Formats: sequence, C-alpha cells, structure tokens
Amino acid sequence: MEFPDGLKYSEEHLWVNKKDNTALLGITSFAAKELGEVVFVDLPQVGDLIDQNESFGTLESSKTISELFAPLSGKVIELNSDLEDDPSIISEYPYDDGWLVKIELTDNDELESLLSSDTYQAFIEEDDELEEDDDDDDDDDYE
Amino acid sequence: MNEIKVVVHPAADIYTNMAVDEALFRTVKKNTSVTLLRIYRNKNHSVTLGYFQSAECLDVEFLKKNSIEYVRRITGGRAVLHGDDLIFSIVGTIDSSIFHSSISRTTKNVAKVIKKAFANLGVDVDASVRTTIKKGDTIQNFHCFNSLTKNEILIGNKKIVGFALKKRAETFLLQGSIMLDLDRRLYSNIIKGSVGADISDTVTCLNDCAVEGVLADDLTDALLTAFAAEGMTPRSGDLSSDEWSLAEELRKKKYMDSTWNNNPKKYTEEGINV
Repeated sequence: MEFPDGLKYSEEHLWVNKKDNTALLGITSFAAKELGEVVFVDLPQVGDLIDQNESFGTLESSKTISELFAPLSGKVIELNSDLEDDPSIISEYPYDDGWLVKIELTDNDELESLLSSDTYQAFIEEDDELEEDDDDDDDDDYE
Repeated sequence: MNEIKVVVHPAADIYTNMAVDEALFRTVKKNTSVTLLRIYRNKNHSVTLGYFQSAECLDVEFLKKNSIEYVRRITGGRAVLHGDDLIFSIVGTIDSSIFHSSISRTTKNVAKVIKKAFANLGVDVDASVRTTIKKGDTIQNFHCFNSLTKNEILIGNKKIVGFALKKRAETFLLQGSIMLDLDRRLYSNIIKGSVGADISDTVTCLNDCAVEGVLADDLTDALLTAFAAEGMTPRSGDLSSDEWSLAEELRKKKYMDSTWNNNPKKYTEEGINV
C-alpha cells in the first residue's frame, strides 16, 4: 500500500489533494483494500455543500454500503464522471483515476486536522498491530 | 469471554423487521454497546432489495397476486425472498469480536460461527472463496442467492446463507438470511422476465440438506451454541423503549414509504427523530 507524500489524510480513510483553494478527494489504498471492489457509488451533486466529518456519499463493495465522511468542508465543483460507468476504478486506482469529487474549500483551517502520510501510516499500523494480537489463533479456514 | 446480547423476536412484517434493524444500528455507540444479535422471521413471503438496487426489475403484478410485499434495505447486496428463511442481524462496532475494518475479515468471522452452527445440526458446509457480484441488475445478478461474496456459506457449491452489510464510520449492521426451506416457484418469478428460471444450480436450503427436518428454533439454538463456542456468551435482552420508538418511526416514515422503496434518491428523512 502506498500513501503519497503530497497528500493529506483523514482518519476516515480519505485523501485530500489541495491545490490553491480547491481540493480533490478520494479513498486511500488502505480503504480500497479493506472494502473490496466498488460496484456502486453515490456522490453529491455539483453545487452541493459538504461539511467536514459529515457523510457526503456512499459506496457499495462486497455487499456492504459504506458511508463516505468528508475530510474537509466545501462546495462540490466537479464529480469524477468516469465513476458512473465504472466505479471499480476507485478500487484499482484510488489516488488518480479513482478520485471522487473536487471541492472549493470553505475553511482552510480544517486542513490542520488532517494527517500527513507518515502519521496516517502510523495510524493504520497501530490498528493493524492490535488486530495481529487478536489474530494469533486465526487459522484462515476460509481463505 | 465477551457477551453478546441476544434478541429473539416473533415473526413480524417486513417493514417492522427492517425498521428494528435500522433503529438498532442508529443507536449503537462506540465503546458503550455490546454486540447485539437479533434473530427473527417474516410473517409472510416478502422481498428485500439491496440499497442500490432498482425496484423496476421486480414483477410487481406477480408480487401483488401472491401478496408479497417488498422493501428496500439499508444494507448492500441483492434481492432476497424472505418467508422460508431465518433472518439474523448483528449490530456492533469495530471493537467487537465480529466486526473489522476489512469486510472480508468481518464476513469470515461470521462465516466461522455459522459453519459451527451448521455443524451442530450435522450439516457440513463450505465458505465461498470468490466474489461474483458485479454492477447491474440482470436476471442472473438480481437475486442475492445468485451472486457470491467471499465467505458466504455454500453446500455443494449452492448458496444457503447470504450476508449484506452497512458500515458507518466504525459501526456496523450485518443482515443475514439462512434458507430453511425454499419456495422455488416464488423465487423464480419475482423478477421480470425470469419466469421459470432454473435456480437448482445456485441456491439450496437447510431442509434439502439435513438428515432430519430443521425448525427455526433448532437453528436458533445451534447459532447461540456456536456464538458461545466462539467466545461470545449469549445474554437475552430486548430493545429499549427509545429503540422501539425509533423503530416505529422508521417503520411508518421510511419503510412504508414508497419513495424510499422505489426511488430512494428522492427520499428525505425529515421528521425522523434519532
């Protein structure tokens, strides 16, 4: 899994690529792996306002509906139209072709609450270590 | 040893059953709630659609003629014909022994318990190792029991248990259906253009596989024994009055609302007090 240095990350596993007063949002490679292949996605409309830490869309993978939580507040100015035809690109190319929405930021201070690549990686590794402790008796019967 | 709160409800209509599951999902709180297992049945034959599925594929005339109601779930996956199944839902957070940020790990945990439950009934099962679900509603793809996700339970390569989930931050709802019996005529006709479709290769039921007949109560006992064997001690309970109130609101204002069931993008949740 990769976590590009130039991006910011949320604990809800979305990445942010800020450029001037706009930002592209997408899910991280960690989220893509944990969720499995995305088969449906439902995103807000252009012009909609989204609020930091609030649900702004849903996606379906492995018969699971997962809500997407906005890493930043802003106004949606562009949607990734390629996802309508093939949402699985979210899973395959989470950092480039699989981006979700482009927003115009409404509160630049919110960026402070996001994680760097290193901090995000440490955040998910911490969870993984806890899981490994729980997994000692995991015999992978169903793999 | 963890506890799992167990609620066994008498058969109810599909609107009530979906509303109760959602009420439990909405009220679960991280670190404060034990994992909850709810076991229930539907009074009548009914269909649940996956969250993203189009209701247009349903043969509404056939459903009406056979008094089959349909409703949209908040979980993913495909359509399920209920009535001859035992349904279970598990609600909890990522802190529980069932749920994990990896969907595959979560379904694997559940499959492990169900496999044990089936073994308690003397039935050997396999868990699927592949996912076949793809975007789009086709005859082949419309039924939950025609499409596989990794870790779903099979007998002789035919599906007998289906799962679907909803995840919000770190809280989860898993809904599962275990086929006790199967009305093949109904199953084959609920989707337009599928009249007489052969389902014998894709789906089976417990009473086709068990040496002796299996009743819902037998399966319930087997499930509880299996959870206990996996380190989750069952403790009987029920919904709180607040949870029942929320369920009643969701029943009236969401699950009985044709907009939610037919055109969910236009549905708004105004007036539902969480």
